Amino acid sequence: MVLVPDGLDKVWRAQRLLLRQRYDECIEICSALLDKNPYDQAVWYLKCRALTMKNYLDDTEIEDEGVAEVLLDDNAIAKLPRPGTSLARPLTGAKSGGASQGVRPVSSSGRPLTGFARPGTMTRPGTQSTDVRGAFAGNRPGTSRPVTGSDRFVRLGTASMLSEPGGPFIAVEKLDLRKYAARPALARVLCDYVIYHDHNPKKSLELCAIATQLAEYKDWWWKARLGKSYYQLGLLREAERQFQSALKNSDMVSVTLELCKCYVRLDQPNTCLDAYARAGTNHPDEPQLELGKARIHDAVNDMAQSVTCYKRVLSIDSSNVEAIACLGAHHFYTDQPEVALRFFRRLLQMGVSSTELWNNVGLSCFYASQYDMCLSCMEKALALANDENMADAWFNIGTIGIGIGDLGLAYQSLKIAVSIEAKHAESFNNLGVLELRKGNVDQARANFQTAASLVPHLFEPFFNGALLAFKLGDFQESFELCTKSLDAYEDHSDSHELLKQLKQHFSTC
Amino acid sequence: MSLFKAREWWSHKCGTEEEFESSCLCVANIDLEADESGTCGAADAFGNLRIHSWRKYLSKGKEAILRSTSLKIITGSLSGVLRIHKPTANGYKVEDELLETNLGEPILQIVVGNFVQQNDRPALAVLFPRRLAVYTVNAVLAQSGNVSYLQLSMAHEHSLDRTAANMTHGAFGGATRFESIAVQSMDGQISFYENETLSFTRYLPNFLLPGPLAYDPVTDGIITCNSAFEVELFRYTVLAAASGEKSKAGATPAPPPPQITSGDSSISSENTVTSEKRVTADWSVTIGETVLDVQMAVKANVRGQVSSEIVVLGEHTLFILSTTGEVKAQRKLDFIPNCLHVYSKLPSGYAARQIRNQPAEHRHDQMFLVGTSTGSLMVYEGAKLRWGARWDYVPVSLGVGNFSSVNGLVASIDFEGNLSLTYMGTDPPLTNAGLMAEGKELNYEDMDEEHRMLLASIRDATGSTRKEPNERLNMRVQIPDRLDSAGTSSYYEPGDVSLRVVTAKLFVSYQGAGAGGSAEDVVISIQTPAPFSVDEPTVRISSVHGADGASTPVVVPIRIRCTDGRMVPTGSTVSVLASFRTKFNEPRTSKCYFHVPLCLSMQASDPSKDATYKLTVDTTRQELPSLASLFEDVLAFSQHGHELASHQSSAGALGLRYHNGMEVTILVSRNAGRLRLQANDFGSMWLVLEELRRRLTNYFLGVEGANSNPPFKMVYQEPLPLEDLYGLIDNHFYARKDSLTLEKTLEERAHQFRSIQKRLLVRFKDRNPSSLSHLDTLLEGSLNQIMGVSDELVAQQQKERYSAEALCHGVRLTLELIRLQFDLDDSAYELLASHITPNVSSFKTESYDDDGELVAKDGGGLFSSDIGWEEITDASVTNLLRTALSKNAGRDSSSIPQPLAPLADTAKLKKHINTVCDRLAKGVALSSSQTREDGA
Repeated sequence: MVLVPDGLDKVWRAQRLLLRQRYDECIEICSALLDKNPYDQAVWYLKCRALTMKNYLDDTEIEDEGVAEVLLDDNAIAKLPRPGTSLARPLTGAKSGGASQGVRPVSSSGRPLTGFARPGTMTRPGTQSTDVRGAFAGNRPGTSRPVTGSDRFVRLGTASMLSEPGGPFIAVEKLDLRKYAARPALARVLCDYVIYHDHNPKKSLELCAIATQLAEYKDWWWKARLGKSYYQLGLLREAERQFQSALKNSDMVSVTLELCKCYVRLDQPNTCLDAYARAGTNHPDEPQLELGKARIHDAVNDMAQSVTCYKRVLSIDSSNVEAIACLGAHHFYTDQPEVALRFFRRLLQMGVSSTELWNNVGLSCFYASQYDMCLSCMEKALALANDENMADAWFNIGTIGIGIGDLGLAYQSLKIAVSIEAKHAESFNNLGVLELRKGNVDQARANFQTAASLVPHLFEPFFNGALLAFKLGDFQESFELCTKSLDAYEDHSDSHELLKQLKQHFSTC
Repeated sequence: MSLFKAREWWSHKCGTEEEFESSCLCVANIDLEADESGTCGAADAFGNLRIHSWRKYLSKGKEAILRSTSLKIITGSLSGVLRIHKPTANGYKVEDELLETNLGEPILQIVVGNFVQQNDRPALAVLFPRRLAVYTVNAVLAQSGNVSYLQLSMAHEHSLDRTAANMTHGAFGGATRFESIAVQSMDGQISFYENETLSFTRYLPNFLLPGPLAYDPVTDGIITCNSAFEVELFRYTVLAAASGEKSKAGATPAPPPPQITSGDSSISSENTVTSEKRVTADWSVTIGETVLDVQMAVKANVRGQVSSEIVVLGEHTLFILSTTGEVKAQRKLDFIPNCLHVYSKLPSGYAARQIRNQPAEHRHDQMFLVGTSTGSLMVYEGAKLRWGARWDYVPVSLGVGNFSSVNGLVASIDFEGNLSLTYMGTDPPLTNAGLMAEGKELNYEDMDEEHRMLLASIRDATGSTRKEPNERLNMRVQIPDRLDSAGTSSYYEPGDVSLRVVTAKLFVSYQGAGAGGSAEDVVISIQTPAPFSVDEPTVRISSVHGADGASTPVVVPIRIRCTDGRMVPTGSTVSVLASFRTKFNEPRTSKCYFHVPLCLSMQASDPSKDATYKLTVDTTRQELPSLASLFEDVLAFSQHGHELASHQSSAGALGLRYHNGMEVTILVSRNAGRLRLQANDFGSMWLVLEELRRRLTNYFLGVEGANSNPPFKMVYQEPLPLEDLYGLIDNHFYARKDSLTLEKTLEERAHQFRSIQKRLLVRFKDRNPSSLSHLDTLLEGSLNQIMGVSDELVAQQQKERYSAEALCHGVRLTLELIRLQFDLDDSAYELLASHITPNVSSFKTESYDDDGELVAKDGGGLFSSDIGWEEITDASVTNLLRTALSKNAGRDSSSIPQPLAPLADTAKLKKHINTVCDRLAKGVALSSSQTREDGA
């Protein structure tokens, strides 16, 4: 296609290309124009905007926390909060209204796995008594590297620097921000540029502060950006104040979402829910608010509430993938695989096609006794799989193998799972059980130990190890493992039973 | 993400290589063609009925207009081509295109409205970058009475001073009969064109780039969005009354920014006219994001009251504003939107009655279509999502209309000109869900076959025995039992031992599955025991090819010579190792062994009567062959060989002499089948004994065949000469100790020397030299000491070497005797020899090179210098006792190996060797199969 068709104004063309998300072409035109006339503000505006949008990242979602954030987090209010009032201490057991841990696996923070993987669902958002080792180990599959720096921003920032030949477009450090702040149109794009392209919250903070002042503290947008800058700098209380102030000026959904993100980082789930609820009364048709609520309920392990929220999301936006996925997962783990299957099938019909989804469809089919379907679904899952999720798919095939009694298939699948991802603890655990059936006691023990050392929040390897040790007569080890199993899952009745037997044994001899 | 797919009813690709922008598509009955119901309407789309037309047609009945079936789709491309289509039936026909004309300039926008005062019919306004043209469209009827094509005739046109950006239209100022057009230029000037005349132009304040433009009939205001992300409303009356000049020092009390010359409008009026009436916005609302489009949603309730809402499509949010500037609703979009279209829902039948019963504020009879950049179409009612449908392409402009009695078709065009009419079907989209082999016949036999194969390979992989690959390199050695004729002096001459050369032939051939295989990069390395050497220890062959049948092997000559005549050989086995790559690049090795011919190290001599050491060996045969025939090869290369041979046959004795003069005499007792070896040196008998055993075994194998009963054996029945061995061990041990002591002394002396040197240096460098106070004498003295100790050390090391050699011979002899005494087979012997190793010197791990630096020698630095043969043998013998020779069958595998520590004396070692012999005497079997898992 021609960059600028005959007879068209270049600026007009650049503006349209910008709206069409054809940023590179827009930048090309603008660069050419700026070469001729470097003081053309309109072109500067367009190029600035194009560069910003090219690197734009919707940051209303919860993001990964880097090592520094996890380790140097001092936002915790209470060291030992009551259950349900902190993300660090989710509700447990029967109060949650969800499936028990024995049925629904948990993430490393002791929360049931959600049906939808967002940044932050696998780790704990908010405060956590994490040790250095845990923080540095990282839990992204496929890499042992932790998330570094201040989230994704730093890395994306360096990438955007690299892509620009001839140095950065705007040398923010050299600008007289006061001068720009007085020109509303330029100031706003500059601010977005600094935040999204340069990832320099310090500078944007400066700009926002001046601009807010010039706007006589009446402009919600500048306050929201001020809050965003504070948030990115980790000054959560200041950010909260700015967002609240912005909301007073104008009730915007995006600001509410950012405020709630702030509360999540501050580990105040209940305040966060209040904020969502307040916004929800004004914006009853906004699914993001309900979704946020559902996520918080999810995070504090209040499954019943979260499911109602997800259902409400679906009544507003019937094609919300996250809600469908989470409801599907919920039904699956509450022993309604047929219902779960319908949810997952809906996702398939909507055009989602991923390993995880096929995997879930396969498993739902299996538990709904539709054996003819499940293996072909798993086949598709494998065909779509990459290194990160292939191990899970094989693990599930192993589970199906165990379920239908084809232990050979199960054994081989689990072996493959382990060969793909050497840190797949669940596979090690199941392999241990299979080895035990084969009579390879040493192998089984080694497998349980590996599994337990890889993922200490799973209770199964501990319990299996304890049981094996008990049968081998190693009561001391059995006792230790049993205690650890109960640490991971305090309501596990089999562990309690075993512990009782052990105690009886110890007291008699 | 959407569940459903938009179903296509009609589609056509407009032009090739043409580009289309937003607002380049209109749906209207532009030529006022009468449809079945006799009504004709002018509407660019249903939702955008102007207020006057609304009033006009309201009386006629809205439903009639909406059901108009004579709508046309008008499109204009950036290449300047204007097209009008009238879809008549499902699927595109050539007759559907009523007009295609190239207007010569890029078309920025087209709108339809009552722009021509003279006739009350819809006209088409087309905006070019520098021109605004209004056309009327007339139908040319075919004979059948149907429209065959359309004709475009220009009503009026205006050339524009400034480059245009976009336009809007409406009955500005409350005009009732016709509509005006407002054109926004790239530098923010809005020009109002009423009919054929330009009424006035105004500059917008705070302008940087043109934003979308809309006209609200209720408040009579122009709505736009400025570059500061604010939506603003300017009342028409305010605009009309304000000053026309660009307010230079207007609304922006700006500090001197970079000079603005936006776009190409450098001709902006420089002569400032201070205007009393500045253009000010009625209100402005900060939206906070780029606005893609602004449209009005006008609705009227049944009583004819008209109200309107502003629909603002931002980059991330859909806003609905009231005409007073309040945000009434907002909806975050989880996709990037592309285009917006507002239309009114058809209130018919039951739904219409329902609406009438509802309070006004709950009635959203205006619907919004939002096209996304992911190719979906979202239908919103207010902020509620009502429908989502998937498209195959990304639309840039939308319209809605009834075509050919199909109601509510969505007209859309994408960037490249794919024009289509779609409706909301409930078909799920053809996803890539069943992307793989859906419906492929399952071949169960193949699957079974594959399954079997996989199981077999799993079995192979998990089984304990690994199958050797077929590809092999076969090596065979042919050793002549004679010296080379090239070694001219066939008799013993003390000076030129090294001239005694034997050339063995090594046959290398490749064996592999299938023809044409070959071994690449063959490297053959040959290792010989101590006094022997080969001319080429490493031989490289680029490739060895294999053939189907008898392939010609590659022949490698190996010339072995004895390099040091003063030494009794420390071994007799030459190992040949070949490493190569197969054609699959797998590295592989193969090896073979052969014995050094005896004639290379010994020759016959007169038997001697007296000897210090005597060994008597029994055999299981009464009749033994004559020594002359057994050692024929040696005799042939000895001085007086024939005499000796004849002498031997009479006396039954044969002397064999090493090059260093050591003699070993073999005596044969003919009738008793008994042999005696005697020599003055204990160890020197080992080679002869080993050779004798091998030759006799081979002899009887040749005479009697393999199945002779009882098989031929040599048995040693006297007590093992362990004391002699222990003597050698002690010798070696103390020689080592002495060397160590000397080394330590040398170290101390060297340290002392360096200290003195340092002090001397200080003295010499001192500015005020003091007396040397005999340090120089000390230096000389310690230098002498160092020299003395070094000499001693060299002598001691020589001694150590000799003792090591002697120990090696002793160990070999002892091992051989143990083998004979306890009747060990080859594998047991090898196991024993690997624990009590005769390779004494290879544990001498370190030595000093020329610079005095420690360099690792053959031990590879595995052991420190105070660890030697004794320590290692002690450790391995202990291990042997604990594993292969342990008394109880269940062996103690859990013992953790201790780090080696220097031995204080050899008593323990001797005890352990004694125990080994005792255990063997008691009949404990030494089998290598048991020890494999121990990694012995």
